[in-house]
Order: sequence, then structure tokens, then C-alpha cells
Amino acid sequence: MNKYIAKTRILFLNMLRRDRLVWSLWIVAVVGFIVGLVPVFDNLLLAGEMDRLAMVEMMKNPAMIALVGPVYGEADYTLGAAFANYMLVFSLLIVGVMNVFLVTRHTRLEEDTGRMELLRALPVGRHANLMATALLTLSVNVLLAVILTVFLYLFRGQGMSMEGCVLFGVSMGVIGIFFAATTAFLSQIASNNRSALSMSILLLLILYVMRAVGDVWHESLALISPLGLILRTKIFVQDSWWPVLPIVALSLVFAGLTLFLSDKRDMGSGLLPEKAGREHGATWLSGPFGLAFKLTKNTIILWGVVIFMLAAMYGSVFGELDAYLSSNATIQAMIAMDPRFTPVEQFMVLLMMVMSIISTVPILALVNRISHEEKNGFLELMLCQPVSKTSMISSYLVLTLVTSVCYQFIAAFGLWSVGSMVLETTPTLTSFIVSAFLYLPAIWVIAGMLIVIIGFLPGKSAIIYYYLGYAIVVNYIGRLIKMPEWTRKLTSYGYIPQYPLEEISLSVHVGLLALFVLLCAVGFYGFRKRDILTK
Amino acid sequence: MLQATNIHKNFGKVTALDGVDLTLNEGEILGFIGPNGAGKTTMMRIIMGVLQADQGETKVFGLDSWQNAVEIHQKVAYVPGDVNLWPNLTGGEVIDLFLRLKDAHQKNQKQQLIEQFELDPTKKCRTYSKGNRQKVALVAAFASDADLYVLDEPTSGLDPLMEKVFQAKVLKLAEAGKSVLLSSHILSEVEKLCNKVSIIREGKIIETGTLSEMKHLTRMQVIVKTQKKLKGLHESPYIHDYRETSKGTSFSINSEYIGDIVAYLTPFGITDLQCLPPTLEELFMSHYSERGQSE
Repeated sequence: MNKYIAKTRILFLNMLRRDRLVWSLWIVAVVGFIVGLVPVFDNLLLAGEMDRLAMVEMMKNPAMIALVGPVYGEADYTLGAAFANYMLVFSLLIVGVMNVFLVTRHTRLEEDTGRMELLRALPVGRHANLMATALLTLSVNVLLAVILTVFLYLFRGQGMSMEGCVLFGVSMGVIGIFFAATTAFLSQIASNNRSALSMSILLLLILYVMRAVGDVWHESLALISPLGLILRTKIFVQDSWWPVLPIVALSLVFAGLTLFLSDKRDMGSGLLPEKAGREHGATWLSGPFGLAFKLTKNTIILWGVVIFMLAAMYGSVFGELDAYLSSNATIQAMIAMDPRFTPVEQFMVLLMMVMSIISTVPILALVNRISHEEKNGFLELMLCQPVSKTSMISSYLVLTLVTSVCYQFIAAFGLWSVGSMVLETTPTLTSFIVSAFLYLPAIWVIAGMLIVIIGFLPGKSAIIYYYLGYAIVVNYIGRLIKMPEWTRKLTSYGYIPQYPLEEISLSVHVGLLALFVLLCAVGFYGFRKRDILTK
Repeated sequence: MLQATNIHKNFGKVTALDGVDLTLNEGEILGFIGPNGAGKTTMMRIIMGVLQADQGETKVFGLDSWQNAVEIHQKVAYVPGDVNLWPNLTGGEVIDLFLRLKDAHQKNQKQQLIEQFELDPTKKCRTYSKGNRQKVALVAAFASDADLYVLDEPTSGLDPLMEKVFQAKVLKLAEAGKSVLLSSHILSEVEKLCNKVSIIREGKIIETGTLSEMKHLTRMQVIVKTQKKLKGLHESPYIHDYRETSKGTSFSINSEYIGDIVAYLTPFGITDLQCLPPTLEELFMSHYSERGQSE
């Protein structure tokens, strides 16, 4: 046994120390996000801001079910029931992402950087690092579950029993451990860190979509996905414990498979072989733009597929949505329906905003690729060729602009194509496209801000993601909890007219475009003047 | 070809370069040597217009290295000291990209170089070892038709056979009248290839000159055997490190007095005489140890 796990304890303690900021911040952020919203829901329901019945009706909307899962306990829709209904899936996704990053960081990344080789040269067991990673994720998830339970109970509201709080915490911990196990498993198969990471995130998305589709149409599909199964705990309504067991068992199976595969493969290589590549570069790989495209092609396509899937998922509920909204007086009153427009048109506004914010994530990643190239010394290689800094950064900018147009088109097309299949009165493709393209200047302004950061604060581009996080909160959740209008006006999305409900305003768009051009000019200036980061 | 005057560069409070002068004329191969952290790579990055000097001027082909980087790079080939390549591109793709950026796609020459350096261009760069990544950069550099080659420790990951291939390539460049700036730790390599050397230490150039000039400044080692017993030699002020060994009498002497000493030795009946020229190694060591003592 010793040859396998010797010195696991030291490695584990070292990881705990090395990552102390990473895991503690994750825990604080996740617990803060979840518990912080309890009083918000409390206000919403008890202060009479929203009728309890109206809330149930809203949550029973197929689009909402696809988004957050089925409604339980509608007869007595307590704060606890509403809270678990709305928050659990989001929280599970976050804890899933946390575990994917935590595990790849200590497995494939360590191998790719060559640090693993250093470790393995020491008198350390063959599986010690894997074991230490398992211990690390186990402790972080258990710690998260415990802290979350305690704080949920401390800040509990109506209908939030002790048992429900514990089950909420346990569900989070169990799903976290499940994704840690699947990520460790995929890390054995993938041939490098990047593909391990993207395969793991893809699995998370697939399981989420399986649950969404299953919850709307065919429950058995939702039961196969752990993300759907865990919702059957019906927290704060029935507090069923049975779904926890199969997920724990499944995690153990993946953990066992991981150990088995880890024993079979060589360090630094995956079970999927690295196939031989091209001997010569394709003709279009001949300049900064060709290179930028080559490097980001797969990511661009993958995100295009994700955006289409999400748009199609929303589009597929148009039929149910229309029937549901037309027949329901409560909800018509609630969202202040305008009789001049169809229910789908009114819902389209919200969907377009959500889709636009989602597509901003890969757009920012695309702009930020230049920082990645800089940090890894690839930018230096290019600048030592007859290539200017301006042409490097503008290649990424042009690629970003083209991709953002494509993404908005894909979102519009996805909503329209699937929507018109299920509902005859779906608006025309043109109005979807107009609605989607109206968001382009808003997306570009955020991209422009990132360019300014790249130009003046090299290596600090993460700042923009905090801003995007703020934009998501105020534009999405902010509308639900009625935050003041000015909070939205601090983001570019807040200025986009709600087409087709509102008129298109030329001045807003010209203004946003001018701001974007200005931001780019300033960012380019800074980038040209400063030294690039060197190792 | 290359003219840098009084280059200063600070990173925060750390002074990396403190008034460096560097000149490289057409057809010269300049060896750029110095210990780790002396500022070699920083200087090369300034020459390549990747970093901007705080003070001083660097001209390549008479153009400013920072302002006119793009123009200059048409005719400059660079091999960085730490070659990082895009992990998901193959070596072949990287070489083609670099050659196309220079509009210098010479298929035959590229193919020949790939074979000589025994590189597999179909492998993804993430699977290459350090030496193989260096080979990719070297193939791209040698296959491009440049006038100036800036090579930052290009052989640090190569095996001795590949080092030979590299040296042959550099000598061929010299024959073709190209200019090369070569930084290296391997002094035997610099000695073999370079006709001029600049030594840098703590951001300052402490010695520049042709190898023969520099050797003048140092001592030659002489081992001599004579029929008659040598007398009075160790009292001479030109003679250093005088020792009697089993191989004969050994001493060192400033190169300029070598004629005098042969004349002095002849009457004793020389049976064996070895004059060993100073190696760059000794030059290097004597410089560093002298500096070390003076500080």
C-alpha cells in the first residue's frame, strides 16, 4: 500500500495551504450568495411585494421549469419552498464548477506544468497526489456543506426546517463530490489540462440540459441526471433523503474508475491518444488574424453550440408559454402585459437580455485571449516577427466583433427556429434578429472596457468578470427583486430598448458605439506604449 | 547593422541594464556572454523591440528598434532563450506561420533543415521537449532569409550532435556575410563561432573586443623542458605561477612577452615547448574573480 499512497498526508496539507485563498474564497462566495438571498426572498414574499400565488404561477411557467426545475409544495408555497425552488439548481451549478476547477488544478494541470514530475521523483506514492486531491475536495465540500447548513439555519425564514437546511447543505456537498469524481475520471482520459477542463464543463452542461428537458417533458430523463435527481429531495417541502444515496454511489464508482485508470496510464498522457497533427500550416494560418482564429476556433464553435442549445431550449417552451400566459390572468397582471403585443413578444425581451449576457462570457474570453498569449510568452514570439502590437490586438478585436454578431444571430435563430416549430404565432426571424442585434453595442462596450484594462493594467483582466457579475445581478435578479433603475444604468445593457415593446433609439446606439470606439482607441494606445509582460 | 548606445532599463527598483553599449557590424558574429541574470535576455528583448529602454538608443539597420520594430523584423531572425510555443499547434504549423509572416517561404530549405535537425513537425508543441522546441525556433530562423540573427542561448537544450549541426549553420551564415548576435554559456561554442565578444555583468558591459585582442590581455601558459637546468626564470617580473611539474617547468606569461621568453630559453636547449593560448573560460573566470575581489 505504501508504494501507492506514501506521503499523502503531507501533500494534502500542502494543497490545503497552497489553495487556502482559493477554497476559502469559494466557500465564502457560495455561502454568501445563497444565504444572502434568503432575506431578499423573505421581503419579496412576506412584504407583499409579490403575491404568493403569483410566484407559484410564475415558477410553473415552462420556461422557468426548464431554467430552475419543477415546483414542489405549491399548496403551501412557503419561503423555504420558493427559495429551494429558485436557488438550488443555480447553487448546484456553482458548486459543480468549483469542483471542476479544484480537481483539474491538482491533477492534469500539475502534470502539464511538469510539477508532478518533480513530486513523483520524491519518495511519494504513485497515487498520493490523486489521494490528496480527493481528500482536499472531500474536505472542501464537507466544510462547505457544514458552513452552508449553519448559516442557512441561522438566517432561516418561514418553512425552513432544521432538516431542510441540513439537506440543502448535504445536497450541495454530494453534488460537489460527484463533479469532483467525474472530473478526476475525465482527467485520466483527456490528453491535457485544457481538454480535461472543457470535457468536465461540457458534462456539467449536458447534465443540466438533460434535467431541463426532462423536467419539462419526460421526467425519467431528469432522474438520470444527478442534477435532476437531487431536486427530488424536495427540500423544505418533504425533505426526502433517498436521492442522496444513488449519487454518492455513482461518485464512488467514478472514484474507483479514476484510480483504476490512473494506475493504467502513464503520467502526462491520457487514454485518448494525442493524434499527429498537420505537417504544414494551412494557407490561412499566415498572419495574426489567422493565428488568432486557429487558436480560438474550437472554443468559438463550442460556445456557438452551447448558445444554440440554450436558445433552442427557451424556444421549445414557446408553445407552452403562450398557452400558459394567455390563460392566466394572475400572471398577466403581474408582468403588466401590454395587449398590443403577444405574450411571446413580451417574454422575448427578457430572453434576449439573458442570452446576450450569456454570450458576453465567451466574447470577453476571446478578447482576453491576448492576455493569455502575453502571459505565456506567445505574444513575444509574434512581436519578434514583422508583426505590430496593433495588428495583434486588433486581430482579436475583429475576431471578437465577428463572433459576437454570429452568436447573436445563433441566439435569434435558435429561439425562432425551434419556437416557430411549436407555435405558429411566433414572431418573425427578422424581429428576433433585430432584437438580438440591438444588444451588440452593449456587448461591445464591455469588450472595450476589457481592452482598456489590457492596455493599462496587464495581468489584471479578471476585473472585467466582476463587472459582468454585477451586470448579471442587477439586470437579471435585480428586475425580480425590484432594485432601483440607476443600478442597471451603470451597465451598458441597461440602455438597450426593450424591442419590440419599446422604440429603437438611434441616439442610444450611436452613443454606445462611440463609447466603444473611444474605449478601443484608449486601450490600443496604452497597449502600444507599454512593455509586454515577459517571464 | 546593430548599434546600441547607453541602454538603461529598470524593472521597478531593480536595475537590469545600466548603460550598455553594443555594436555589431556587417558580417560579424558577436558572442554575448555573462552569468545568469546579467541582463543578456533583457538586452536582446530591447534589440527586438519587445521592451522599451528607459534611456539610450538602439538602432538596427539604422532604424529605431522600438519605433520601427515591424520593418526591422522583416530581416531579423530571433531565437528566444526560453522557447514557449502554442501547445495545440504542431511544430510544422509554427514554422510555416513564422516564415509566412516574413514572406520568406523557402520550402526546400525548410525541409532540409527539418531533416538535419531531426525534428518531427507533425507533433503538437505541448509534446515537445525543450530541445525540440528550440529546434522549431532554429528551423524557422535559419529558413528565413534574414540579415541579422539574434540567438539567445540557442543550444542550451540541444544534444552534442545537434549542437554540431547548429554550429555548421552559423558558420555558413558567416560565410554568406550575415551578422549574428549569439548569447551563450558555452564558451567553447563562442570561441569556435564568434570573432568578437562582449562580456556583460550586472547590467554593464565589462569587456568588448575581438578574441585575439582579448587574448592579448591575458596570459599564455607555457610548459617547457630544457637540457640544462633553468635558472633565474622565477625572478623575472613577467613570469607568473612558476611551478616545476613532472611534465616540465610550467609558468604563465603575458602574451606580448612570448618572443622575449623564447629568446631567453633557447640557450638552455629546449627539448619540448608547449604554448597554450588562453581559453575563453580563463578569460571569463579571471574577469569575474577580479571583479569579485575588487568589490
